[in-house]
Amino acid sequence: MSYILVSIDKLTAGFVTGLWAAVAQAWVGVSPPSAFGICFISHPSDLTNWIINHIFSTTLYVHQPSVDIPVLTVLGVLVGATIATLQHREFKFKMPRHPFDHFVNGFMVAVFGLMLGYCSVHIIMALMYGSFVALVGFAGMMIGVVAAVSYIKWSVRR
Amino acid sequence: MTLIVGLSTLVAGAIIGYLWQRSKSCSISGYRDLLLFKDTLFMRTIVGMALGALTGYLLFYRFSGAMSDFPSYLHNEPGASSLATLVLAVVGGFGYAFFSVHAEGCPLRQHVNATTGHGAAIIYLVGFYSGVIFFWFVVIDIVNVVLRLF
Repeated sequence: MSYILVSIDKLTAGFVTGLWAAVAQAWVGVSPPSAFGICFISHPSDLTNWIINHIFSTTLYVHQPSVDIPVLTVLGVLVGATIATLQHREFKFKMPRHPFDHFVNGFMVAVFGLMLGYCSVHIIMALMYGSFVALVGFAGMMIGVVAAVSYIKWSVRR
Repeated sequence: MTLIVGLSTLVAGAIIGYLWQRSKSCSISGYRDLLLFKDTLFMRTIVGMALGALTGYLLFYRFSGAMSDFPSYLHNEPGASSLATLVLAVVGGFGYAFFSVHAEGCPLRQHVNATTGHGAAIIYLVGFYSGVIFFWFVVIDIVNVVLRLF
């Protein structure tokens, strides 16, 4: 069976993502906070906390747009990416060599990301909106990138 | 209204998930590749996001009360004058980027990768959601202490 191969430019994917944040805020009402249309720190956190709150009657924090029905961006991305994967027959299960390292990386990204309050997608939107907190967080992020790259270079040379 | 928010984020998420899967986009690899290999390919996603966000903001803040005047930091941004918030932003940003570079992708990229059967991304997500729960049950108390310090 034949299938259509869809190739999308990174610039286009980024542009649509950036534009959605503004559309979500202006037309759909996904705010506060500002530029909350997409955030892969706060949206997974809201969804997780909303589920825990409803099962265990806890009062974990969720952002205002997620109080009654949580933002479902995470589910949407999983659905959209699965459609693309199946459409292009790209599913191939592969186990990593050091699974614990990946677990730790995910764990730490969530903890530090929630401390920051932004993911690396959301922070670009907030930066373009002129947020000062995002600017400071972005500076921290750039120091983190430089430190990680330096560490990788040092590890290779060692 | 909340149903609209839920449904619209589901649909928009699906479109974004599809686009990011097909374009192999990532919001952290661009900086890493630029520094490590002088490669600007992944920076296209970041530039695209910046252009999309700026276009959207400039278009919509004129037509909608949901947007404050541009740029927003000139209009009493919550937390912008709190030293503790800024310290947490720097520390959080540093840790987020440091571990994201080691994970070889941002959380959005990892969600997309998990759907392709990438075991590393699936395990990353197990750690990620464990981290979310750990933050809200343990770390949030430390954050609140820090916020009261300054």
